[in-house]
Amino acid sequence: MSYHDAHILDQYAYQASVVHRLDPRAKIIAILFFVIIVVSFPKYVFISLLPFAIYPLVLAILSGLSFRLLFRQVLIASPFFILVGLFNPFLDRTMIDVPFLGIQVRGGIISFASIALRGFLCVSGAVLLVSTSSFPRLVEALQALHLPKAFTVQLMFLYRYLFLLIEEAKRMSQARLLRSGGFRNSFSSARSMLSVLLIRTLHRAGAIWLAMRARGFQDEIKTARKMKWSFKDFIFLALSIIFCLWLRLIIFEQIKF
Amino acid sequence: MAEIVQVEKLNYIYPDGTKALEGVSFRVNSGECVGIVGASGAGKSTLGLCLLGLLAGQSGRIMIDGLELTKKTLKQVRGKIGLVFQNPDDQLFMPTLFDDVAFGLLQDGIDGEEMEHLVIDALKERGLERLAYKFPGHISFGQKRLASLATVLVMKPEILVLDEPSANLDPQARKQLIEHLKALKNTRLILSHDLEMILSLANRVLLMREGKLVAEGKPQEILSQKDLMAENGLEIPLSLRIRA
Repeated sequence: MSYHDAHILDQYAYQASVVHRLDPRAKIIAILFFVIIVVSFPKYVFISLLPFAIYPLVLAILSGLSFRLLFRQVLIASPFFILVGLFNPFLDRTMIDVPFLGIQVRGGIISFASIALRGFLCVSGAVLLVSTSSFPRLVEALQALHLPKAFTVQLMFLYRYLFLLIEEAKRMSQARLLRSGGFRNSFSSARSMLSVLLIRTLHRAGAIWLAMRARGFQDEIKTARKMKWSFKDFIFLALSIIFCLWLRLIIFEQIKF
Repeated sequence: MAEIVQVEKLNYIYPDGTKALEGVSFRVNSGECVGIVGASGAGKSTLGLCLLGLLAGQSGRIMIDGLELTKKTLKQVRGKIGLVFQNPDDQLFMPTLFDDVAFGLLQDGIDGEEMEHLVIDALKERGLERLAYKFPGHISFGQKRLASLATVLVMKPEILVLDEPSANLDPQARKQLIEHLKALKNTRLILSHDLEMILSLANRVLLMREGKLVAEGKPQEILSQKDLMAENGLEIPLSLRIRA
């Protein structure tokens, strides 16, 4: 993820759409349920998964997140899930009947397409989650959902230090570019830059740690806003669950592919 | 006037062997504004970190408002003394200015409406209320400096330690900051080599060199000594040179 993308996503998280205003706990549970249902289908299923795209698309429209940005973020993560099924077409030679078309296709191709589609749907859900709730709010929500404190504090630091790392890298990259006449440097200089980047980031991280300690930080994230479930959150969660179950139990039973 | 800060024979050596503080002793009275000056590397920032117990001196003693700084008293001492870091980006680590100012209060168990009032007041006093929900990375350096001051002042510390508060500020922002600092009633320790600012704010000056205190006195007396300034890598402030 580029510096620009990271900041854009973070800025989106502070908008005030109807999705942004939902309790982050409701969003976490809904997206988690969505992911579990998408992953729960048998491996040779493709068409039954397609209607699930409605869910992220509707959330994107309601939250004002541009499709372009959503697609771009999913593309960045796509090598990971494409790699998972990349060899399926060569390894799985089972022939599967494709309904509606009346043809037979190699099972590996279908399972590869299915993995890619599931990856696309799951990553879309994750992108929508982080772009409609600020990261600190998500961490608070995880805390409220009783995830271990050690995990949530690590997440919070990861968020803060990730931006530091990106900012330091950006500064160093600019300085290198100005002194290299615009030519890309060799692998060895990139390697030494990486080590300097790590040291500089650790230095900055240490300074932030001191600033937090100076203001009484005691290994627990305490935040200004309280979590409140509202009727809208229940409605959102209920609709999300009903939609996913309807696709999984009713539509899939009819299509079976 | 009661002594609110007492530092006795404080020593600090960094893990790489650099002696940052050597036998530093001084006292500060309640309500005083003390300028701690010296060239870069003189030990000013290390002293600031030691005063809050963020670095533990190898030997020596620090008393803050009658409390000796130890592991047991750390929380109480940090409730009495606040540090504004040299780089405001280190101090502003939350997603919005509001969250940053609220951070210390929440750690202290102050939340709800009381916390909100305190945060908004602290931002208002520094003219930052309209930026309350902005990402701190997207405001000017001068605003960041004022915001980092707000993050500390909201905790109502009796003693305020400011590390190079005027560094990297444009003239307008610097002037605004000096006005803010002048208006404060807290005991202030200003660690800086901006001698003009020290001259306009401090009642007393402590001069540091290579981790030691080498001179102490009224700002005009200390800062106007040409040889002393030159020996310590500093220059007589322009306003004193003009007066001379």
